[in-house]
Amino acid sequence: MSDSSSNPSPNSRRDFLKHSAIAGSALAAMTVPQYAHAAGTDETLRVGLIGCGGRGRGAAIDALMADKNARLVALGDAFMDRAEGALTDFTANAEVSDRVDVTKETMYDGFDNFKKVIDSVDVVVLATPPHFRPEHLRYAVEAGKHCFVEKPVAVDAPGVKHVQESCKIAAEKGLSIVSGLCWRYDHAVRATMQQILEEKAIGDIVAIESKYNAGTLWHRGDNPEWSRMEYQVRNWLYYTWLSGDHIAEQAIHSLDKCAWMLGDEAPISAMGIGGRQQRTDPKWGHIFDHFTVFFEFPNGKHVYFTCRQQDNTDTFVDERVLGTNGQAEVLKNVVYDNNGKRTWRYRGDRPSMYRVEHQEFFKSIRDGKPIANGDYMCNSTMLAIMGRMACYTGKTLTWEDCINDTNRLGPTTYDWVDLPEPPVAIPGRTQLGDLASVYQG
Amino acid sequence: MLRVITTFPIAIALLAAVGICPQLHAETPGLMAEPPAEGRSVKTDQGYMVEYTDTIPGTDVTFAMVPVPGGEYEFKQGDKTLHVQIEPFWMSKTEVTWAEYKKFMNLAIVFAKFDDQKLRQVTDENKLDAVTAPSKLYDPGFTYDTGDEPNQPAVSMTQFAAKQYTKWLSLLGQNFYRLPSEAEWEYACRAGSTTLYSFGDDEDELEEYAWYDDMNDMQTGPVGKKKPNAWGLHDMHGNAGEWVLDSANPPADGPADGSKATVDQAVSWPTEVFPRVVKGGSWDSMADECTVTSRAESSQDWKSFDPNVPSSSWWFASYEGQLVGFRLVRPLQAPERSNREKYWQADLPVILDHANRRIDEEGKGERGIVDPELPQAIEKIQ
Repeated sequence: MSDSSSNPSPNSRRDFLKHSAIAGSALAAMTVPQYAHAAGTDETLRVGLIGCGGRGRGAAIDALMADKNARLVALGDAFMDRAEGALTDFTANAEVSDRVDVTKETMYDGFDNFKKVIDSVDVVVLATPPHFRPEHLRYAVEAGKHCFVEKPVAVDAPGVKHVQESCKIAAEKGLSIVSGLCWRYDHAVRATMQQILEEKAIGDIVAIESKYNAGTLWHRGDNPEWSRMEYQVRNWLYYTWLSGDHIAEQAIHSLDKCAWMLGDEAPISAMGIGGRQQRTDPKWGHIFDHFTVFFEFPNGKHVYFTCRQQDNTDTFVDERVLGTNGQAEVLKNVVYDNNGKRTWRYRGDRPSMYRVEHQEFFKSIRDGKPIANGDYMCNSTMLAIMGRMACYTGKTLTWEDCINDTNRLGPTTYDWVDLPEPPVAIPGRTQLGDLASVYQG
Repeated sequence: MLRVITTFPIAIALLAAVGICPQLHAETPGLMAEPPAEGRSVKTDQGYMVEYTDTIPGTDVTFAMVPVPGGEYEFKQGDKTLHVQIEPFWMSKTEVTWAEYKKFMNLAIVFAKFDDQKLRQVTDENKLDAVTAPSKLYDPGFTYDTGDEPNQPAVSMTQFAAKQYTKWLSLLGQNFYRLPSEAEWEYACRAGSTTLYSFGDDEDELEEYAWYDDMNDMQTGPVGKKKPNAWGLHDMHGNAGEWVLDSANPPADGPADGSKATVDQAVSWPTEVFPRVVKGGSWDSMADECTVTSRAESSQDWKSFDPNVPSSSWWFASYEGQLVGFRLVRPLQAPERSNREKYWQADLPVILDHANRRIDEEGKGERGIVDPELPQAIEKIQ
């Protein structure tokens, strides 16, 4: 269940998406996988980390914990202070510090740090702000490296398509692509999904009520010496070109669980309402603080989704799955019958999903049996982008409207300049292209 | 002027009430010159300790404290037995609830606003009175899985965060609050009993006293709904497990001359981040894990669901974290200000270093000054 091994019917929308993404590409002709050789158990695997924030540091430690012959050899970050901070944490961790071979010479900053890291490793952890993921992933798979890919994998439709192509290249080269959509690796959630999808414990799914309602997150302040580019990159959550907005950066976990339950098929359409009520100060960039999206899926299934980041509001994160024969709560790991009586509860072990995903990742490399999470990580990323597009524009959008959108967000070249900020989107006025045009002036 | 006129009669009435009521001082809640007409009291040379209800300054949230008499306690840890002289204290009638703890959590928002406006900044001169506020929750599910209703016990905080809570509450008002020691906790839980549970040895009776064995559908129980022990303490068995000051390593030997150990001498003061002691069992413990002497030990694994490094200084993100809360004690004899830090502050440099890095490098968590003027300052910026 961990990899994208589900078998969509040949005519499914998802299949269409998958194939349309590479249609006409020379890659399509390369049908024989050229498997990278299995690494065996004793061979050293050199690991590099790109994006040295809190999550990247966590993922790098998870990687070292997962495989006793993994060694961390290179760090990349736009900012050297972040790479140095990461090294401090690795050195202080008694369980992994003896396998940290990073030196001053193997820590890279600037926007091209990723090339130097990727060139010097076997396995790479991609954990920068999502904007940079497509470019980094492409370079990594072309260089033949196994990739741990944090979520989301892109911030716009061109980015999603680019990642889909990269995953195709990875599959042809026999490279593992493991997604940071971590709940797919959680034992309790997997068992709950088995109850829902295989045991049919709630009958057929009718609809999913999905919520990622939370408070606000961190801010790293400002500094008069920072260009506006640096300010935005350091506070990347609050800029759509960097994070995809919080529906993509954070609430994708909820949308991904919905997609999982609905067979990772693309939805038909999305209608959404969103805006910015509480987090209005300019320090919070231009992202929204709440989204509500109704997704229509094939076969009359629906997802009713909300997410928000507002302080002092009630928080709730989970999917309530409504079935013909009962209900389930996914993160709570419980199933109820139609009378509301609990009929199942997960009672098994609860290893950290962050550890499990790296254990399976490294095992796949050792065994020469690559994991391919690419399909679902792209589909779930696009679901989040679609929800954002519907809310920003106030229009009911079809999947095709969204996946075929050609607007790429963010500057085309990266430099420490005073980058402009797009205005906050206003439904009914904002067009899909508005966010991209800001960077073209 | 109108305000003065309207409040004046109320002030008079309050003064009159204090005069009638045999309290020693209005600012010494829980202490009376004469024994109360009804209800428990504990006689001390400073007066009669009684149950009292206090309000968290600047909020409408209240909490009740009940008196625990002094006495001698035979504190057994492994093959060691310490004879501990317990001094009188008040203890929270229930575990600290989400209603209470969320007021503390709110400081993350408040301190950030102060920083934006350069108000109440932490300096070298005032930093002794600074606390670190818990970071905002990235995924509230990890923290609130077992419920976050106002009358449910707060859970999932680290021992450091619980200690910072006691510092915050103390500096807001006049009273000194801290976590209990393990010996104090057991002594209070026993309430004079010598049995497995405070009410006897029969685990069939436990459900009258405790939320345990998942009897509330994966939720903690509302506090104070089960029977209390003989001293009026609710939920000592089950519901949230409770932090104490102690590490899980054996305490030091008692005084060489055979005299009784003080509470401080009987504490196994931590020298490592883990393991530390959690008492009383939880809502998901079995009956034999909820006895007076039961203890759970915290571990690094409780942070394994934290996706970030450095991991949170204030929160666990695991199933085990959902089992852990705390309650307060207020000793009748409060230590000098200079002796309070050991109960309130990070006891190891690494804990403080992580908290500081989370705040300064990641923007997660906040630092601010706590004093009696804080509630007004909060009101002003809102």
